[in-house]
Amino acid sequence: MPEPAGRRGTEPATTGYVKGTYMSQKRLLALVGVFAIMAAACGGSSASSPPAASGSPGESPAASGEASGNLAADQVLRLYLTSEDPKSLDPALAEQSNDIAILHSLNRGLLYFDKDQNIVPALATEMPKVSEDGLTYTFTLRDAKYSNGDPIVADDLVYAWKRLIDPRIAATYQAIIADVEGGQAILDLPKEATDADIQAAVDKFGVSAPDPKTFVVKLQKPTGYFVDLATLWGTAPYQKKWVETPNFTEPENYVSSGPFILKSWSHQAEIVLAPNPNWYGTKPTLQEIRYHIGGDPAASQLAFEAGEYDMLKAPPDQVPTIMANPELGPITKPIATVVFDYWGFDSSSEDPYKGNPHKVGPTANRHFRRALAMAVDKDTLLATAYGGQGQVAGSPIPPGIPGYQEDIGLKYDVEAAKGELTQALQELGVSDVSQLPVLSFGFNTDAGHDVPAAFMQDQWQTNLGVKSELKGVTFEQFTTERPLLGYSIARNAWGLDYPHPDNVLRVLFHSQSGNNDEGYNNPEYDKLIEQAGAMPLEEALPLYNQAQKMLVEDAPAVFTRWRVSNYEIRPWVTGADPTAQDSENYGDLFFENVKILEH
Amino acid sequence: MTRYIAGRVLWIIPVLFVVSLLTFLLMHSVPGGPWAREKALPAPTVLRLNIKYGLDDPLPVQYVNWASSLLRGDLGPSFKFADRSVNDIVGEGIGVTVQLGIMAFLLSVLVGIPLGIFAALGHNRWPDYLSTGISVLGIATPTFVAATLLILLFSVRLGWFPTGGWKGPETWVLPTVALAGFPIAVIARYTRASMLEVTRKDYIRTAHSKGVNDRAVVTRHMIRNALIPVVTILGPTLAYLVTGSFIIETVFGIPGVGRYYITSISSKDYGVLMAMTILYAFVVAFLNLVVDVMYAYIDPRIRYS
Repeated sequence: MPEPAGRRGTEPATTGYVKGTYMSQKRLLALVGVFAIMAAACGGSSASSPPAASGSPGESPAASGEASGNLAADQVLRLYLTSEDPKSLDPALAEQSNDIAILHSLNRGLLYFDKDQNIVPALATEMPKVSEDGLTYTFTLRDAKYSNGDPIVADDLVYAWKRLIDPRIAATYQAIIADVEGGQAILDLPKEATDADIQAAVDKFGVSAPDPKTFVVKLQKPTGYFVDLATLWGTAPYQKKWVETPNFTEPENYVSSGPFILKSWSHQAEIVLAPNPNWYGTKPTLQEIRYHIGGDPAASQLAFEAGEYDMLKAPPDQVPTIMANPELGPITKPIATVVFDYWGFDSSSEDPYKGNPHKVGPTANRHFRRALAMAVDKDTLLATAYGGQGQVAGSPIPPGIPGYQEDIGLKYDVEAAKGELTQALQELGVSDVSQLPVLSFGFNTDAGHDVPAAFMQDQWQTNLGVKSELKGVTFEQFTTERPLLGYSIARNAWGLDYPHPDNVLRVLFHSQSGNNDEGYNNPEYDKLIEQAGAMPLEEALPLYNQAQKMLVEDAPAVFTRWRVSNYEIRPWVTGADPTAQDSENYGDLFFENVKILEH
Repeated sequence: MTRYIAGRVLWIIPVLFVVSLLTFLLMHSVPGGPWAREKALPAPTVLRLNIKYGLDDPLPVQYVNWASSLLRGDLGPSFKFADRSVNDIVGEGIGVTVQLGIMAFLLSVLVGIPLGIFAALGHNRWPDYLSTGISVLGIATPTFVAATLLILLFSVRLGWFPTGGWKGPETWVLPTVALAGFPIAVIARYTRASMLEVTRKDYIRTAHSKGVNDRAVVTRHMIRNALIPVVTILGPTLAYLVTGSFIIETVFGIPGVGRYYITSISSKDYGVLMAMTILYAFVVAFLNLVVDVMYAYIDPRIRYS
């Protein structure tokens, strides 16, 4: 914006025409000041109540969550999605939480969850039959139709599964079904592979449809968490002819297999869902779900207060204010999520990790890492750096997820930490902690990590005398350098894709896993995980428990927080079943159950 | 004049070429890419993504591919929104942004110029200080503060307008006012300064001494001459407004293209980034040309050979 140039400070001589009295500059400043203060005061006062009619008889206070009363005539659920459009509603290409939030309502695959997060049949008539050797899973499909009236057949599942892993589609989640026979071979195709090579490899992918109602999957090796994979949004069936329609993800073309259809999509503005007349499950009571897109989270809170939304995930930085608000506090519910925060230590041993040369620091020593993990006061960390939001963690698997173990973490104990440190120094051959090199402590900027990082840096300095240097860099730089062990200490986080210990313990900490940013390499741990991964969940749990305990004791990271989302829910929204896997809104895994009461 | 205009129009092409090339090089020199994720994608997946989007080709090849498809009217794929092309994305949003920009421009001109004139005529009296006060507020208040305050006051407290979205005239008001705040302030200051300068000119004194009444002096002589310098900044102002404000569009949740200037950089959506830059460069170049041509009409002393 161009500035007016050159005239500042030079007042032209006044002619007879424009002469006037001289007003004191101070008085002007005072006027402007008063104006500003008044404006600020207006802004700071509490919000007005939403334009709602008085509550209907029989409505219990919102805190209980299950209100009763008459159904409203307009069954419309108004929600906020995110500030940006979904990246893609193509089941193969969807990857963000806002994509998945919508897909939960639009498509359902062979299996799905119930409100207690148990895996239950959806499109399948029952849980799959597993062969003796644990390699072959046979699903029987129920009679079901797409929103366009066509029957859902097993060939569509074959098509969808092959498309998910097809290199030409380049789905970011392609590797998640690599456990199917032929999957790894497809992923390992070299760059020079021709189209014919790729097609040949995809044709050999271990999924088949011997008849329209039977879908068979052959796995590479026994995989206990395979049933979880069959719940994922990318494995839901869809038709080849749908994908080949131009603009197939636009509402006029979208074909759903779930409880809702895509009624309209005004890009970057609004998505509207409506019931799918051909849905085989619980018929939705809602006539419409209106997702508003755009604006930032702070603006969405204002919109909620102005009565524009029926539910909202409270913006984290406003939660304390919201909880203190007498009108909003009682209607706000905290729900555990599948996301947790941790701070990884470069745990790789002497040998260069995965061929990347790096400087082996004191964090390679187990006792040193344990000292670091025990020297952080996580309760104070949560209270000060995260505004008290979330739950203090000691281990990775969050509460509510199979494999969660209470209280197995290394406790905050400065004396014990010092003991570990002494041992570490002995093993490292260093006489005093001041002789240790300064540890590089990496995190990405502009994401709110500076405060917790500074807190932890201070804890290690004060409690142990260990010095670290904060390195806040851009997200791109950080996510490139972290897996290459560019930092001794690095901020990290993970959100589970499926509620199974495998998705944490193997995917994050198995020595060969691509997501193992710490270089953690424990052969005993690897063996436990591999064994457990071949067994069904109930049998595998004791092994996973053992492995998680081992992990926590080896301290390749200090696990600090299980994230909690706070949802503000108007009392007339009923029937919602929240789970830790809710993507953007309370109960958005099962919107077919939600009803709106008269209000 | 026609030759002049034709020449200027032709010049836009090399300007766009240079801008696009520089942007392309800068874009690719920043570390990271569209596939940066919290947890690194597996190497085979990144390989396949690069092949699919042509990122494994050498840079010159990529640029030539982009430029040649641009000449065919195809802005390429979006690297972030997998289902849609850049043509789709820009096409959807551009109408909204341009409409908002034009409304804000009209508001800025209709309020800013009179405000500046008012200030100059009441120089060193209360009109001047009021107007200066408003200008200072307009320039000093960050857009997101102004926008949020407007929402808080007029949507949440008074309930006069919706808090955001773009659905009908009642959603147009607050964003237009918020967007026009800064331009009003600047135009007012510029107009005021220009008017005050014109006041001292000899021809004004001549007019007074001829006995022309004050109102006629102002309307027939002062305003026209004062507006010439103001027209200079109206071109870039319109360009700035019409290409959208990231902040306004984000705070009000407006489905325009203004937001893409920032989001395409952080998400490394190369396709949208290049399109946005070309768009902005074109609009600025074109509007500067319009302003220069208008000069010739407004000020008879200016002639282009």
